[in-house]
Amino acid sequence: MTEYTKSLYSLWNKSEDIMGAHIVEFFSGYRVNQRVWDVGGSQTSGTATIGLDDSINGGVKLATGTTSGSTAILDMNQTCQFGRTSSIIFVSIHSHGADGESYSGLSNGTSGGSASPQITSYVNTGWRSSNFDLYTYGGGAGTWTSGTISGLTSKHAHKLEAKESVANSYVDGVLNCSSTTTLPDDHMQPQFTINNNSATNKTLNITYCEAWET
Amino acid sequence: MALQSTAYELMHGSFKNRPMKSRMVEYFVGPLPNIAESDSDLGAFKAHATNGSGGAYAMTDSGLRVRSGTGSNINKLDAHYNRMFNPHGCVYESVAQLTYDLSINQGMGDDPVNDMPQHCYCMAGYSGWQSDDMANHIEFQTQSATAPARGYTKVATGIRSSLNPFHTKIEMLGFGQTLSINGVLGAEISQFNQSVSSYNYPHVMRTNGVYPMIEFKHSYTPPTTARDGYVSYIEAYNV
Repeated sequence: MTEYTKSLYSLWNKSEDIMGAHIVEFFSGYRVNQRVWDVGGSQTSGTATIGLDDSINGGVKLATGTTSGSTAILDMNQTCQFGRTSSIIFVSIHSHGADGESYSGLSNGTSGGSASPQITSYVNTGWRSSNFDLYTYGGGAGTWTSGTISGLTSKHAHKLEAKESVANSYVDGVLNCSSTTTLPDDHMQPQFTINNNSATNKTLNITYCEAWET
Repeated sequence: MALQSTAYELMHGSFKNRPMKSRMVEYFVGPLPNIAESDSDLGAFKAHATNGSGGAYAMTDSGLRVRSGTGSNINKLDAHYNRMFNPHGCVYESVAQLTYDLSINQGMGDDPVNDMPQHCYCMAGYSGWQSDDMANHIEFQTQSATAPARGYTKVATGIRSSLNPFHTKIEMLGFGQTLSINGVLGAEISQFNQSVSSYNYPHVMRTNGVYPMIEFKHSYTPPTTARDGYVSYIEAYNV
């Protein structure tokens, strides 16, 4: 039998499966692909900015600027093509080891924050630890699950899985934590947000994002 | 359904490896060029006329066509100061095609100006460009602005240019740089071949990042005819 070059479809899926939504984004080149990504619009506030970063492995940079309470939000402007059981991989790094607040993962809604269906990696050392927590919201309530892996200012590959009865957070291939409560109950989009909570510029760089229906 | 594999794993192997570094992939498909011809435009690449004027961009059955002006002319596409790639550890790959009387210089650089300060690129020309020694064959050139400034290092590959689409692979690594054409290693610039020629010595690349670029160069003394070049794929990634 002749061997053919393989399709991405066949590498990603079994032939009997119908592939759901899938996105692969490298955040490189001259400009963020704004046919796909909303780089802020009305959701990004204060002095926050979003743009590709002129540095090695820079990716896209979300920066709050120095006005307290500024928030940068990168998402698909509420085009939620990923069901409540979806997964996301992203490679990211924070500029700061303390304070600031970020949600990174899959979420419904354009406002960021904790009041929307989501599965996100949560960072806020102001009231949580310096580990990567898992935040899930569904059924009108949210749960912060304590992570076991730290390293906000190092680059990590995160993987979040929202399954029927459990949500998992992996960091660099290691299970960070899991939650079985308040699992997301609505369609979602990839979303990355950062708020400085102070008059200090806080940044979040993302060099890779892949999301798909689980 | 569960995925058999993610794109991340296909490109990078296990999640337990260090996190994947920056990558850029452009397929040059569809009806509209994914390039920015002005600062206000969006696109994966920024278009520049670094010498002369003119140049037109259009999608064709062969990918993106870059049509020169009718005078001496260089049109360049690059990521324009988003320098995410490590000059000591990155790879550039492309599929491009030139036509008679036009040459293509491509690889990694760090500035949009003509004769950019730091670059590592493949130079392929086909006839017509008699003022330069690369006509009808492919050369490999590096330059670094790092002191001591040494100008260009240029190595002939011995691989002849053709008018067919060709695959270029440039590896910028710690020991030096290599160029392969259609899977054949054509040239290496490194400390290991320093003695080959006084014209061939390694450059220590700066630590500043570089970005993918491709330029379409009409002859220095051209006929008054526009020439076409094509590009259908560019990928760059840090290793």
